[in-house]
Amino acid sequence: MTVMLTMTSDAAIDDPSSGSGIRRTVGTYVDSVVSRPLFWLLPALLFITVFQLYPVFEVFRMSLTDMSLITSEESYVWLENYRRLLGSERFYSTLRVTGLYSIASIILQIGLGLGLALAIDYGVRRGLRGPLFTRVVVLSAWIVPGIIIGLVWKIMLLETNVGVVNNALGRLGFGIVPFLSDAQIAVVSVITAGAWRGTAFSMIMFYAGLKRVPDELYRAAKIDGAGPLARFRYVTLPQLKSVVFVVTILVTIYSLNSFDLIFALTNGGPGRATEVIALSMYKSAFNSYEMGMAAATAVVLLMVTLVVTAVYFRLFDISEEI
Amino acid sequence: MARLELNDLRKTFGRGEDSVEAVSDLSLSVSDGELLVLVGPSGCGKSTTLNCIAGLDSVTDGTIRIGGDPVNERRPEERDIAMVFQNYALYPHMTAAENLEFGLKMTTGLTAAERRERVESTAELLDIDRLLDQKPKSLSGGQKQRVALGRAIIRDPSVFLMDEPLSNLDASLRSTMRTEIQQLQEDLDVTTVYVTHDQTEAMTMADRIAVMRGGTLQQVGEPLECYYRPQNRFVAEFIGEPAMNMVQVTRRGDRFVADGFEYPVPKRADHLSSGNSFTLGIRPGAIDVVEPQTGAATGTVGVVEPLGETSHAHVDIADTTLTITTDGPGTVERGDVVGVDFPPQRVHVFDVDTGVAVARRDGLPGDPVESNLNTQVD
Amino acid sequence: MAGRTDTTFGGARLDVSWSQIRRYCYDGVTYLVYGLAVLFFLFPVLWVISLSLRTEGAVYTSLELLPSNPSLDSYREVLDSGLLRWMRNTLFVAVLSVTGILLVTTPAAYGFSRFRFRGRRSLLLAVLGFQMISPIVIVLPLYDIMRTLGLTESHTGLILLYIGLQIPFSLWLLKGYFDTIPTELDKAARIDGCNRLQTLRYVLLRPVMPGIAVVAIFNFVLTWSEFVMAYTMLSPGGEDLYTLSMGIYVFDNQLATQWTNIAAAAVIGIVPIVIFFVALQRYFVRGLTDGAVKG
Repeated sequence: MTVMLTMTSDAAIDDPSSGSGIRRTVGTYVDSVVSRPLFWLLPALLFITVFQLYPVFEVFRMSLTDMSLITSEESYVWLENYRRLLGSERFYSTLRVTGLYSIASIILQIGLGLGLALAIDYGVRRGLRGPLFTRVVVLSAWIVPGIIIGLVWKIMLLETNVGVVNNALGRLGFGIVPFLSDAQIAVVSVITAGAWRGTAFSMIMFYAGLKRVPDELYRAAKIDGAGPLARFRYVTLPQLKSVVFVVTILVTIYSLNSFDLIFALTNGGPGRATEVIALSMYKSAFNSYEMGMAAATAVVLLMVTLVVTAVYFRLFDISEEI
Repeated sequence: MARLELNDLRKTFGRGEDSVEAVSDLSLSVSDGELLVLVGPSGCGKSTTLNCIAGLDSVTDGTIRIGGDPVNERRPEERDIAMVFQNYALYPHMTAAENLEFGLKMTTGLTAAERRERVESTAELLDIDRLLDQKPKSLSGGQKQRVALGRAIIRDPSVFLMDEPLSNLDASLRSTMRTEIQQLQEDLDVTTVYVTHDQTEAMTMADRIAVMRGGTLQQVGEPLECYYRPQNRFVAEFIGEPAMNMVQVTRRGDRFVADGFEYPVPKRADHLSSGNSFTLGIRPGAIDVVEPQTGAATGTVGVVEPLGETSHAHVDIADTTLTITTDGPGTVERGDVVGVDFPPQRVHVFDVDTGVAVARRDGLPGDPVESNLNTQVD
Repeated sequence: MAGRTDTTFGGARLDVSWSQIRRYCYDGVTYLVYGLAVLFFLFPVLWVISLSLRTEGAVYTSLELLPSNPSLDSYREVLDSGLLRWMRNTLFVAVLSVTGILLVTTPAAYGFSRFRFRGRRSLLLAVLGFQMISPIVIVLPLYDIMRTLGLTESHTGLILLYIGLQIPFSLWLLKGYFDTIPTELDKAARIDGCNRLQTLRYVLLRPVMPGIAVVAIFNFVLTWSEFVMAYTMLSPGGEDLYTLSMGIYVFDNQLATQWTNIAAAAVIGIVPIVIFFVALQRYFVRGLTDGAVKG
């Protein structure tokens, strides 16, 4: 011990003179800079301001102008764009398609996602083979770039012999099904492709939620005489409540704003049968060059998203969870 | 090797109306090589005080001196202190050796070989030399605690700061480590401030105890001083296990009287005026069981908790319950009617409103003054 | 006595077999779910792979997954006509975007986790709020901004854009990770002589690594696959700038009905990123289930 103490007595005691004094001033300066939260947050806040905050204001401003991609002149037309939008048949058609697509997507993706998550969780708890493989396969579908998912399903659903689904149906004696050229069936096709992609997300969120349900709760419920269904109803579901909330919100936001998959699969066709709001917005900006009009559509899309989210916050009483 | 002084230390959190004063006007000094235990219930400001000494929290007002130099403006590593934390706070991705070495690496110009040497000698001292290559995850609680101690020792600081270092350990390990820390502190002879909420730790380890409550210092003194001569009701109740019994009484002539309770006023309490109310405090261990109707009070034994050598018995007297410590099993049984009595020097008298001790005994048991007094009163 | 043992045994056996039957039923249903899921989610990809390996003439005929005389001609053809270059572009953009995202988000997550300052909560909620705004909604002003800054038709612009768009989610996730690390570690580091920068670098970075891995994997996949922004910002810049997604999209429009080539392009768009993800999905799922994302 004594050895240790003598060994260090000179090194440990602070020498306020010369070199270490300079080091200390620099050190104190660095210290005072890095003790301000702004130092740490500034880059992130800067990026958010430029690429998120400002564009949100700008899209509102743009929607009040007659901005165009071809001329650099612009003037304020105030609510003219909105008046035109709300007066057009096309707008209501896209609204209807978006609504239909979103509702179907939410139901399908949450239902399938929850079912798969339960099956995988059950398999893991029981030590069955296959849950990992299934999980990986489903997640892989989510990883595939949206534009390519559109392409894959286009190939799958081709209305010739090349389309495997029609080919198989043909062999079973059915005629060609117009998966992409019939207005109503095309919507179903788009929804299916959407579910193919989106289910993984809700599955993995639910799975994470299920993993967090403590085993003791299930054991306690078993001792209290709850069967599998009762355990699901009274243990699992209440524990998943906040996950269900988050997943519903995110899937909704996602479906309402769907773009790339539909862009590649049907490009809104046949006619406007599968044209969602985002698609029509993009087309009016980059095909018709009407930026002002497109901005108004974007604003409406944002409003729809916000209103629906607000409704969810009302419906779910999650005050105690957040 | 240094003396630690706190002068009118004040620490407030937040600004304006929401501000909370965590430590108020705390003055304390810890002499060279002394082990001072800061004890108090959670939220009493003891940890904040420690963080201020360490430089982890800035001081709102007052001065901290280590070895005579004010250190308020110094950064933690310039204060020549080391600290041990409640949950060990070992760096999870470093081996035990790297954990020990890290502080040296950051603050000294020692070469790798010199550092290695220090790590090894420290590890030997703490008997952890065989654990040096392991990561915290694979160490047991006691081993982690040793590594955490090593991290503090290796810096060879003038002041050790320990923030509830034993509270994560299980009971048996805790008492072993308690002795070990005490031994280590004595051997190294380093000024130490030890924070705990556990009065047993405080009593057994401390050279002196500082009891805090709500940010203010209640009493500083040697453990037995705080035990036998508490300055107020809070200290009296906080120190000692089981807690001191409290009885509300009124002085009538030369007696303290309450419902079913009567006790002669000890000589040192003579100056208290008759007709006033007081709180009497009597430690469970000071109470003797006597024949019914002969002592200060008579009551019925309720729950008896056998502990082996001793038992704790709860005796109902009128509307209060006294806890008494009796010898082994069988001294009293549930339902017995017993008398209780206690020597006058073991009676504490507190002001009913302020809780201040109004007639403290003059010395500790065994002091010449004290034995003198005993014979006088008895 | 022997008789009593027998009945107990019999009763127990009956009991066991009942619950076992029920178990087998559940197991059966579970396997059925696995089977259907694998069929639905795997088959389309397998089919596209199968198509891509066929000769142009063989696409109409059979339904076998393994074509009778497989050929790699389509791959050779599409790789030669630009796909290789687009893949390199995508890799470049994705890697630099992820690096940028981590460089910006890690300090910010540390800041939100370790400082208490006025308005912290509202600022955090505001950041999260941006998560509700889909990039598609602001693609028009973004295009305008980038055009003004002269950053369209450039990978640098796209990378900056990706960083800006991905910060809110990444920040939120990483902050959750920092929150799980006890602040005593920070204190110990300060006592050991670290300033905050050193604390982050030497003490906190390693424990927070699983979170950084999740953020990195997630953003890599996202930027690799991203279409709208890339298409909008890079389209006028000519084929040399294309990313994989937009290249394949443009390709599809040009090739019309050369299905084997389109399939080959799609496979190239799918396989590398899926392999990347499958290799790392363990960390991804663990990171998510570790509780850093508050459900």
